[in-house]
Amino acid sequence: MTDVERLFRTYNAALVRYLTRRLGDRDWAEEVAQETFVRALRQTSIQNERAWLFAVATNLVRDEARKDMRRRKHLALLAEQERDEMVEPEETTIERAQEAAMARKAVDALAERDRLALLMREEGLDYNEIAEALELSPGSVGTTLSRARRRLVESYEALQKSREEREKNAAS
Amino acid sequence: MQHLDEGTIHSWLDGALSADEATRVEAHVKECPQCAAAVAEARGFIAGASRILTALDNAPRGVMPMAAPKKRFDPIVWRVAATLLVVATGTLVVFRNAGREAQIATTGADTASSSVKVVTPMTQDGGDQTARTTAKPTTPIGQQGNFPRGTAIGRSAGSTEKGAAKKRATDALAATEQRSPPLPPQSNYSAKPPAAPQTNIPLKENGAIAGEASGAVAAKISAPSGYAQAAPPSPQLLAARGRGAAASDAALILSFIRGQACQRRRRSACRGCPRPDRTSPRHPRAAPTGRRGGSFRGI
Repeated sequence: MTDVERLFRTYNAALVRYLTRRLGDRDWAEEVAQETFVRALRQTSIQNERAWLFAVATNLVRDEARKDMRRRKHLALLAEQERDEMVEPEETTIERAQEAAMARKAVDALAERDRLALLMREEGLDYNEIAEALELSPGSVGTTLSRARRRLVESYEALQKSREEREKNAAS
Repeated sequence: MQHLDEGTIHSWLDGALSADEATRVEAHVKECPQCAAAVAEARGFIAGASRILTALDNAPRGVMPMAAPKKRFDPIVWRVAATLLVVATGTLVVFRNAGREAQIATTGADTASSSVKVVTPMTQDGGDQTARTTAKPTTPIGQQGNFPRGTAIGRSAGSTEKGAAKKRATDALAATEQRSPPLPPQSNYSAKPPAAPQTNIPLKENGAIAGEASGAVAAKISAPSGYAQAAPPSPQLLAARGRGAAASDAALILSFIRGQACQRRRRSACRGCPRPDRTSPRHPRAAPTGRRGGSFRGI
């Protein structure tokens, strides 16, 4: 197994999930993730792989990275294999779609740094990795995360409350 | 001990604190109900945020357009495209030539009616009809003609065939001139076909029409230039001088062949051009338009 394959198998799922949550589109997320692994392949040495991958993926999202079709083909095959092994999620219902829409709104309402730190933390990155990826001091990550979590939950609850009120008004 | 700030609580719950700091925080939370409540709230936020973010995992595919893969054309596509190109080019050439012939025929008819006074009566029944009547063979095609079918049209014929037709036409013209000396133009020339031509040279009907048109054009264009001496007289003139249908047909063919050759835009392709000096920078037929290189659309 080559080095890039090891990286891919180790971090692809987390990276795609992070990017999917960040972008709201799984195809786009997979595309950016593959581009991230292509960049990793070009790198001679990476000290902290996970932090590096998430940082590069974040930058790629920002910069609308260029594509490398040749490398992506190989990675797409690996992704196809992994997708085959995955269990298909439940069928999306209206209620789940509404929850997803509210979650998207709440996440989009966050500041960029808070959002990225939270998404990275959800993917298991430790504070040092988040600090490295986002160029923060390690001591500020806890504060960033606590603020992000609070605002996310409060924003989501506000949206939920608003929706319940609309439904109540529609019923009456 | 001072109350714990929210960042420290989250760091402790996330396991980001060192062992010493974690022990100290844990001890404080056990003793401080306010910080214990803050820790409970922080746990709720962590769980709630995680649940909200999980809801994002049902993101649809294809919300953003994917980068289109670079498709390589199948060789069959190239073949089809090349075939279509060839067909389209051929069609364009054919239609263009047809349009030019029609234009030349029209111009020839106009010229015949305006610049050549002797054929004025011919235009009373229409130029086309006149030309058709004048050049109509009196005997069936192929029985007496030395001219192959459609030679006067000449565009689709090969260069050898065209050259042979040109030679025959020149010979016929020379023979006719020898038999009948030039006569002054008649002003009351009739559009009717010659009743008794001296020499019957059969000619395909449409070839005669096109040839006469080209002859008229040649008469018009060649007047101000040196080409005028080399160019044959227009068919109307020949007919008016009473040389008969044979001379007229021969002149038509000859002038048409020359006209065809001269209509080529490239000087290098002007093999049939009667002008001896082919290296002249100006094409002989380009002179009337006043443009170097010669666009013949204005003919």
